[in-house]
Amino acid sequence: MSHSGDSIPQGALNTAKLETFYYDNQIVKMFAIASSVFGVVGMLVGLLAALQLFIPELNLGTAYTTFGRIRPLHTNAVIFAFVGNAIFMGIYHSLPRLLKTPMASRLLSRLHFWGWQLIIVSAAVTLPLGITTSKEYAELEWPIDIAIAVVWVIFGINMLWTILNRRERHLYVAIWFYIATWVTVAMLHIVNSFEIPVDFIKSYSLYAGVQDALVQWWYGHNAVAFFLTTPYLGLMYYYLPKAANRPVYSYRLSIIHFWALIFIYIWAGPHHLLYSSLPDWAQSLGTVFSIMLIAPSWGGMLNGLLTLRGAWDKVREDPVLKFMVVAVTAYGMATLEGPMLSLKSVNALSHFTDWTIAHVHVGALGWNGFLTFGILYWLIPNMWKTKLWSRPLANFHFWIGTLGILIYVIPMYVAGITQSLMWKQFTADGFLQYPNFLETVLQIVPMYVTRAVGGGMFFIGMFVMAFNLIMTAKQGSFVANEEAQAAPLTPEKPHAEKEYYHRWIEKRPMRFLLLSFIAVVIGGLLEMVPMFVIQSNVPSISTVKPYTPLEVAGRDIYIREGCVSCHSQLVRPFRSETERYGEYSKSGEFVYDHPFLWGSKRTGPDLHRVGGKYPDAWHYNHMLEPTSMSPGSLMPPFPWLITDELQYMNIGDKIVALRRVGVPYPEGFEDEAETVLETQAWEIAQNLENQGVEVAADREIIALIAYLQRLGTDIKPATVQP
Amino acid sequence: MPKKKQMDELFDHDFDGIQEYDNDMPRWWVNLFYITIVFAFVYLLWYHVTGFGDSSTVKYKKQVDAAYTRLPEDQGPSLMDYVFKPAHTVWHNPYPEVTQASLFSGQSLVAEVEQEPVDTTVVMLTANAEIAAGKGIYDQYCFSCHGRVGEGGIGPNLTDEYWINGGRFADVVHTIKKGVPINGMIAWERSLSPEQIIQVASYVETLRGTDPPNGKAPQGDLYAAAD
Repeated sequence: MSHSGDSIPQGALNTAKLETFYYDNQIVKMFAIASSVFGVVGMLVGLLAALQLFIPELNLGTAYTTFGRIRPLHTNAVIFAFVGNAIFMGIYHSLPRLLKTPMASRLLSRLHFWGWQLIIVSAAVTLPLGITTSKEYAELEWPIDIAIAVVWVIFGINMLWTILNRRERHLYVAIWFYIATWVTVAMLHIVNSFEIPVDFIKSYSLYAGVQDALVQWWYGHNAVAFFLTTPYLGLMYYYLPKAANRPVYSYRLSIIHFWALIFIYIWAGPHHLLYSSLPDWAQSLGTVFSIMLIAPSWGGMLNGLLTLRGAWDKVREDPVLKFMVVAVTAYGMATLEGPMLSLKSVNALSHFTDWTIAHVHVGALGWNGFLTFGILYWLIPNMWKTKLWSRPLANFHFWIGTLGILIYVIPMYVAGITQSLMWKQFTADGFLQYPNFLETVLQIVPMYVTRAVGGGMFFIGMFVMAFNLIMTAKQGSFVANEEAQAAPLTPEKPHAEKEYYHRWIEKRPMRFLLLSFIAVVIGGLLEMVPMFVIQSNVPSISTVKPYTPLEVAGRDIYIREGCVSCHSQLVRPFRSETERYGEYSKSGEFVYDHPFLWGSKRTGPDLHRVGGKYPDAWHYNHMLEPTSMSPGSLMPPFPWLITDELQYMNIGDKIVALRRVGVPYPEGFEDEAETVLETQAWEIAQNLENQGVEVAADREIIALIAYLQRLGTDIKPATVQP
Repeated sequence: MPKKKQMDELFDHDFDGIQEYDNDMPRWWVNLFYITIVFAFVYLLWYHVTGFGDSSTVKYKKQVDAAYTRLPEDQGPSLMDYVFKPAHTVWHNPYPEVTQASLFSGQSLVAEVEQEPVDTTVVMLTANAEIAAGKGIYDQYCFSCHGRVGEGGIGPNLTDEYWINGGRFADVVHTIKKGVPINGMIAWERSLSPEQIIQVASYVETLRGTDPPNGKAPQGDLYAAAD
């Protein structure tokens, strides 16, 4: 068959009309350096967090360095700083070359670069300060959210403008992925960030409880899909055939797996909320769309691996291809594992355990990490017009990195399964075999140690790469403005033959953008609209009341300290959980939770039913020194809660903000909130004194105790148990 | 879509030197995709339209109650139930009747414990092995509130003759079993077997009158061991 028509083979015609232009390599270099530097920082913070899990002293005794604040710093740094900058590096390098035109605006490129780095720096400052919304991968507070939206729009304008300037009529598959990434991330970020500010550094999510959870995991899941996956597939489609010098295996596969992937991915968010109080129908949609994702995800892997047919001898030699092969394989494993974890029976075992941590690190270290490394090993010699300084060092990096991933993830799988089975184990008499949660944690400490070794190996590999690339750059000479030539686009001539159906949309970028937006908006709408407008999805419970002002203040401390990093607030409907924690969680109990605090990992026990379980003094002692109440505990101490005075001058503003997001505080309550807060604080201080603890009523610990004692107490077991 | 006849036929376009083959999608991959789509439909039908599959709640009820029988309302909701329900605004307030007074009621919402009569037939264990087992349980779960040797701390002193919830051996067993939620004493019957509760209560009996240093001041009523 013939595919003649729209695309004129280069050089055959128009040689006289060739235009000369220059690619901006400087901006690629800037993003490459930023990605590498923040990659090292982000992984170092991750290593610290990994060590803190078995050496609590490494929390270093300050609020800024405790695990609850370090963990979001790690995830944000790796996702948005390391991977984010790598995405921009790859797009700013590949997009102009695929379109035969430089990036449209050097000014916008630089605004994008410096804006993004400013956001990263503000994240690095605010997260350790405890300024956080607590929503995973969306922790940054509202002013930074606005900055992200602005920078993202700058990036979008720059990219679309470049596309409109193109000298290549059709858009290559990599660019499809870039467009879908841009439009979807914009949508996700904006919708999930709706929040009402209290002041410049504090806001409350517009959504509450189960609805907030649905929006958050629609966002969180698709941050993985459209920030860690689709842009990287785009990069793979450029750099892998380039490095292997082989044609892409199947253009048709590209088309089908692209559209299927972006349409289906968006639906799968609820698989993060299986067995939660999200309605069953939404959970089931999460499950089935995850299963349907297997093939579209594997389409990308197959097209990558099959492109290497006939080039496997090169793979054996070339570090670039080695990294890419492992990256694509890790992608294939993670995207099969994800759907398996979305089956409810598997999820019942895996959720809240280290299995999830293993899963995301196959993706993050294997797919994102190794593809980034492969691209860097290809790109740096290319831009500096030289060869890689040391191939043995790159091979060393490959092996220590691969082994590092294995030594990281295998213990985490073992830890996750071991702990989950211990949580569920009953004795013959019908009691929990391990009623003490801590016992199940101490069992897996050796796995935590091994994991840190694996992470450390991966980290060493990063350094070796940085050194190798710096030496490569030194021996070469950087070409800041790379000359290229191409003929301008001429009006298309009528076709003699019918062209391939998908070619039509490939030359209409704005319609492509619109169509991909329609593809990604459907799933979210069909899941969220019923959740918001149909009352039966969140059955109301009349005894559930808004938090008192002191409890609001305590909840904000809980959010600030990142307690949600280690403690869930969601008892699932399993006998092993209701025996351990109490009645399973009902969606109606969370209607005033702005934001929801269900968590995604239990390094410590669930806290939804902790209210009234222990005396106030127990909590006081436990926060001051966890091991005093729970010998061997890995929880860091929080002594500053006892020395720091509670700042509650703005409690009235908080009440107003919460009323604006829908909490039914009566009009005028904000004026009395301070007095109400003080009264309750005084009662708790009195109660503590009766239990032998002398502490002033104006300390943060009082507010936190008030919140903890309230948790899960709005419904009475006697009225809901069968 | 035109069917091609041979492998690795190149399209005549290229992008920055990258070419593409006009290869078919791998057949097994296409079949895999179809199978997962069929799975999705069957799954949704099974759980949400036919009602054959159990909802999470029903599964839970079956798990905890061996004598469970299905009630009509246990049926998982069918997808169609959600189609024509009356809609209301997104930001509705489900509880307009909440008053200022109800905001103060945090403490009173703590669960009430059903009263169960004290079982006076329980007898203290005296064998060394039983006491040692009781001490093991005490050292794991009880010391954090009642002190290493029963001297008290967050919880009351267990070595004196004053008891808040009754000083008979049977009362101690009952308190351990049911807890005193309002004072923070945990109901241990969910974590400890009846034997273990008697073991630890027996160990606590041995602490009476030991008068350790730093003993907490007496709380509750004087109990005379005479009866």
